[in-house]
Amino acid sequence: MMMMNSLYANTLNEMEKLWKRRRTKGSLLLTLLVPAAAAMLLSALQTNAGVLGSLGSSLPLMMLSLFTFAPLPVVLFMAAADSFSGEAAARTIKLVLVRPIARTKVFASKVLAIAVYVAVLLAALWIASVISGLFVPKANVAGSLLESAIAYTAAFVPMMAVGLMAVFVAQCFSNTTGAMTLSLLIYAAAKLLPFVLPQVSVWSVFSYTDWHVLWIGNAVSAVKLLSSFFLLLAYCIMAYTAGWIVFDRKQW
Amino acid sequence: MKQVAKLYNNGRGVRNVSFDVAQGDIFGLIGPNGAGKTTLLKMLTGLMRPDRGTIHIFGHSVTERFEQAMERVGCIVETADAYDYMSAYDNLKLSARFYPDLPRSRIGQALEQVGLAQYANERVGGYSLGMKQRLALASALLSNPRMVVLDEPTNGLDIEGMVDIRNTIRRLAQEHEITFLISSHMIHDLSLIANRVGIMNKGSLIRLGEANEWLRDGMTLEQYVVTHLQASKEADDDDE
Repeated sequence: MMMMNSLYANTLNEMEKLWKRRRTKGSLLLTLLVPAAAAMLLSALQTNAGVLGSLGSSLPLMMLSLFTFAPLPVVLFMAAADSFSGEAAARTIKLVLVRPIARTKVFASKVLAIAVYVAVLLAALWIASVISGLFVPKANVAGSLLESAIAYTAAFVPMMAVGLMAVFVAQCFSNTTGAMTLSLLIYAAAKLLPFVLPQVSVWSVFSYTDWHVLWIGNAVSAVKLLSSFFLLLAYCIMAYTAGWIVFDRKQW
Repeated sequence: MKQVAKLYNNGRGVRNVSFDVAQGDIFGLIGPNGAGKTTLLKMLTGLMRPDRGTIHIFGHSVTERFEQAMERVGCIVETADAYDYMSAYDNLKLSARFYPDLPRSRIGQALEQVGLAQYANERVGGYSLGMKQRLALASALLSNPRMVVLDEPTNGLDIEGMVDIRNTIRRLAQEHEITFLISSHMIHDLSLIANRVGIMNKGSLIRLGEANEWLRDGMTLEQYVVTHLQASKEADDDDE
């Protein structure tokens, strides 16, 4: 009972710490405001050009593609850096480590809190996009509700893989800036590398940030979806294990 | 604690330290800077792993059954840190979640115990060093622990704060049989509350003494510590 409780207790704690940071609230606000601003822009353009009704219908998917390309990964880099390197720099990590909770669970609870954060951000973006889309004239957002819900659910997997990569990087630093900078550099390099070496994109986890696109319509076979899912899962497992090993061996 | 050792690359650390602390003891760990006191406390509280040796708290191994070992232990190790962007109340709320049987009212009591009740809802970022030290003490005492490990608990406190903490420690040890393991360079503070002391030098525990030992010899604790440190230094010189 005590064992299970400590994991649950620290997951709640990590979520509370995450929520009480200003940048978490800022990120959530941005997630809610950008779709509204995009809907206003589309409405204004449609009034002038009169041909943008179908774009309004795909507002949730447009927003998902935009956010999974850069804003969401950056927000995840910040969350991972704050949760691990930031706490090491502020020495507050010790407040948790001297409590009756095993290190394995401390690490797991921090990752769980990041997972919840990803889910909340995706859910907030979907809700904000759907509601904003309703206000775009001639847009039929309700008609593509199921499709967008599937895409948003699918997007959780690559975002979690990116988040776990950031968690692993954060283990190598004892300050937030270092962890953030290296995560951003790796991400930028991984996004640019396929332009030089196209074959890299098949294996790079960062090439799958738009994985949700594969789930829309019937263009991609189930086998392809399954193989790419297992690739992302393998990245998640490797990043989690590597991060945990480094975290568990640290001396504070 | 049996034959515990932890060596850093620079040759410093802790070498083969063994001692027991009985229930209700106020055990003072004394020694010059770099003697290995904080390393020892870090190993005791799981922040560091010993290279060798075993540490048990209430019968549970710290390295093998950490959760059980730390269930009734409160501590401040090295510095009194807290989440600056949260209030004192919220800081303690985070700690309280690890103890499911702890009533929520205990948070207010702990803050009152250290004189921070009126600042409970202020952000810790605005606290003075002394207030942070008091908050850390409240956090250590929050779970009604059977053992409290304190590393330099009077750091940053004014005279009134030091007296308060001394009295709190003495009262808790007497009334609730709480065991205290305190590392401090404030020998005078320890002499007023400790019933046992361990003197550390260069990573080794050079002396374990009872309060009646130095009192019997007509010494103050300070004289007792200096005598043993001097003897240790002379023994080292002879070896060289």
